[in-house]
Amino acid sequence: MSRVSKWYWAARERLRTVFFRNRAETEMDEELRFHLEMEAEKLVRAEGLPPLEARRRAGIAFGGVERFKEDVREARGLDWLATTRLDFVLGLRMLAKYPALTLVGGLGMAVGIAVSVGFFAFVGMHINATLPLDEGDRIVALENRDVEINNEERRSIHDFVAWRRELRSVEQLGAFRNVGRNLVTGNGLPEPVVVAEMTAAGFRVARVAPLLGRYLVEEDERSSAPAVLVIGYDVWQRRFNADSNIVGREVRFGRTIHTIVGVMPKGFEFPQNHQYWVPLRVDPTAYARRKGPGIFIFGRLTPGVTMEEAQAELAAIGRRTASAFPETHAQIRPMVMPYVHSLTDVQGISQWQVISMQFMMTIVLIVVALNVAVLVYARTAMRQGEIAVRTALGASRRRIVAQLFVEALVLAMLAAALGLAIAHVGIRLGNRILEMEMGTPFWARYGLRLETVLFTIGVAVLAAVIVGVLPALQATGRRVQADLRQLGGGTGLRLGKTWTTLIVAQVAIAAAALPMAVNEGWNQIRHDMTRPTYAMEEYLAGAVRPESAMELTLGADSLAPTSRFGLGMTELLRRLESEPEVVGASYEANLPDRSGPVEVEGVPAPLDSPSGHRVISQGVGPRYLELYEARIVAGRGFGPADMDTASTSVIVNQAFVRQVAGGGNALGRRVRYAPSGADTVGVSERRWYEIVGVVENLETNEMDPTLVRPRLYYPVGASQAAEVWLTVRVRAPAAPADFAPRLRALAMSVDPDLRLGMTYSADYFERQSQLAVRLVALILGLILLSVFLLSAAGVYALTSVTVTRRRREIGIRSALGAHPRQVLLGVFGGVARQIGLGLAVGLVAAALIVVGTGETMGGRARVLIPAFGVVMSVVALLGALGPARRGLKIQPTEALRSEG
Amino acid sequence: MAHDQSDLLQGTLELMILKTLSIEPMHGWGITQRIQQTSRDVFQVNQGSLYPALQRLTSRGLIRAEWRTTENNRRARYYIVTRAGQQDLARERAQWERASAAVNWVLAWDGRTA
Repeated sequence: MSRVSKWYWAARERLRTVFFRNRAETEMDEELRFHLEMEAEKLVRAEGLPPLEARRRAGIAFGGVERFKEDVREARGLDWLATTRLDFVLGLRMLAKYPALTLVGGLGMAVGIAVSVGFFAFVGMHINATLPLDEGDRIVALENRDVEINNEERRSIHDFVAWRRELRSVEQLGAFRNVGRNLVTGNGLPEPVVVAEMTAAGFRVARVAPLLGRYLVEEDERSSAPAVLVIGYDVWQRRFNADSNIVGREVRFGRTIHTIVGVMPKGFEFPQNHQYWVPLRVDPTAYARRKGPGIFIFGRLTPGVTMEEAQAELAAIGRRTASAFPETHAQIRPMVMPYVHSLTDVQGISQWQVISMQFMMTIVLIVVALNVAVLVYARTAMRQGEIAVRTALGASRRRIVAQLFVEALVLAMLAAALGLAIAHVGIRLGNRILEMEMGTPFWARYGLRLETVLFTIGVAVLAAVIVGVLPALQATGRRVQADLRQLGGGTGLRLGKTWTTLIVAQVAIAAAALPMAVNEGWNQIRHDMTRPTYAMEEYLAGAVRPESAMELTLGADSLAPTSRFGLGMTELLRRLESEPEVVGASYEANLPDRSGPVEVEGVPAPLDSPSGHRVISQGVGPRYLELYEARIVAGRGFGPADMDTASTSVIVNQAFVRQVAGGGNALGRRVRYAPSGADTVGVSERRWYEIVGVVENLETNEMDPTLVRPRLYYPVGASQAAEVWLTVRVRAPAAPADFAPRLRALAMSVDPDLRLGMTYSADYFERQSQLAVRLVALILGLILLSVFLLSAAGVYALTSVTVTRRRREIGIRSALGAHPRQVLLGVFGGVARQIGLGLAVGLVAAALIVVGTGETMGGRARVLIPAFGVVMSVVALLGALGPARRGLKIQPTEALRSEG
Repeated sequence: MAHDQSDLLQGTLELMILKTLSIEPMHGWGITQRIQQTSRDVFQVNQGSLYPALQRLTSRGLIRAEWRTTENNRRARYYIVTRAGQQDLARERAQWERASAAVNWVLAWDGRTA
């Protein structure tokens, strides 16, 4: 009973002091007043003192009122809440009072926080993501790794069959692959879709029941089974108007008819981001080992089995396979990993690697925070008087450190908010780039997650500890007592050796790193200035691939070319050119053996690329150059006879002539491709090609014409290509996008198996890449700006503290009649020497890097490095200007009197 | 001011406050007067120690405070011992008596008997 009473009264008191803080304070004042009055009355009675005198004596006897209050507050315990609130308000006021520090420190920390948080969020989204499925963390991926080329080997149908038979630690082993299909429903236009060819086990791994009908079962995988299809909820809603009788309906992929057997529920997109599922028919007899289509293999860890145990079992199977089939599997190591890792292509990444990378990403913030700490320390130096007064009034050291920490926390939190926003922009860009490859995976949660917010708060607190606590500990150290005596003079604090060294080192690093950073940014901008010579907005483009029904007629390697596709493409081009809205049409198609550096007969390879000249090789269809109105300036263009596998003709652009052939006559010269490492074709078998024409450049760069890349065009007949990039020039004023449906219908009418992918206006990619370039430039600019500002602010801090510390000396010198300039030179001489030393070290380091790496920044190093010496000196001067002016304004009499 | 906090162990002050309040509820100033009086002027409690000690006792739920009117018709904050405070006092007092008796035995020892 007494325990309950104790608890009740204690809790009541705590609540009162937390929630009725003002009342508690008023009551404390009232109680104090009562006490003093009683004491005074006693003195009147006992010693006959007049009331006024009695009151004075009572007050003296009581001692420091503030200290008393502080003690009572401390005895209350929970009062830190109230004081922290006060500190926050104070912190906000400090932000407004020192706008330069707020801006520089805040911006710098925001950039640091953005880097760290951006990485954290990205890892959370793409590496540490778990599948939003029942026991999603038990779903794993299995793949073969070729240790020789350090890459995954997905052509593993034989291994899949073996693992499915033997593996005990992973159950419900399944596989899928992505295939493109032309979906035809009713009499509408064909729609290019991505279909998951998946084994029936995939649905059991996901443990999601169908909404309507059934999902795929093992019988569907038999080659004699009827073609069936399962569709996703979104497609059912959008494409089939949520038809409740959908099961049993027929749709076509190209020419093949499939029967819909089921609809999956909303949100189901396993294995990646799919809406269409057809059975994967696994027939190892159709392919040799390490041949056939690439597949993704997955399954569930058997209950009670760990990832390590599964890996051990799989490795044992792998060793047996390697000894049984050494010619194909000697370098193959099977691996089991979290499902997401396989699909995002981060195989074999360990948690430790992620953590150490996260640490690296956080170092930027730590460095910036140390910088800001220097500035805060300098500011604390100015506030030494305030700290001394607070100490005298009874504030403990802990209390003052806490106050300075909260002040720093306010700044860090603002920086964190800004940093989070910057990180968000960066992540969106990163995701967009990722999605170009794989679409939005179903496990992706792109919104702001709780972990990210908590992490951001964590790094903000870390920054605040560095920015607030380090300087506070130094500032409240031994000398506080001494400073009380010097109150008003403000001469107590000096910037310790450590801080001075830090500032000087920072100037050195800035001087060393900035020229390179600017050079990098400059290069980006110059490349950005390269523009096509033709009107991009008139061109419509899209990939055309054969429907896989065509592939299958060829057996074995599904990527082999097909003559039916070639015939279809030729017919499509013919029909396109007879369209009234079309000016012309052609395509690009690259052949696998025509890439990499080239050797040019009679022209030695450049020193920095001994294997050959770096050029862009581009396979083109009939009338491609005419499509872009590129004039032939020498020799001839490609004719119909060139569109043949036997053709050895190539055409080069003017940039090739100028940069590769040395400006001389290129016609008649022979070129061939340098052997690549993986190439098994012997050197003697490499074919020579003859330059038969020179064509105008298709891009210009007004800033630097040498940035127009040398190109080599070679003819590719439609039947040679596995897929082509079709380009149609639409007659103005029609917009390319408006022609897209007509193009799709034409392709369909030529051959339903001619699969036209997404179509784009040609300037779409240009806009995309420009956006990315601009973002990189923005981030680079932000980092540059913060380095600059922090350097300037560091110099400012150094000179500022020097001036404050030497006020008395400045005052005396002025009083003795010294010229202001002399005084300043005397005062700043030391600082100037330190900064000068930092600059010199930095510039020498930059020069050494240039000499050591041979990276002359395109010959600009000679200009850039000294230029930065000048710029950094100006920054240092600007940093010193304010304090210097303040120094000159010191009135001798004031400086001397305040010291008295 | 002869004997202030530094002379007085913190726990002792709290024990004396509890004892004083166990007789009757009292305000802070009254407590200082009563302790001074009952200790025959040996202890003069410093306000700087008294109020934090009262706050500590309140926070621990051993006493509670309420505003009352004094006989001179003034508003004052009175402190009252809670039930838990009563028990704590009994416990602390027994401990104190044992400890002070032990100290007395040590001081009274003349070197002969144990």
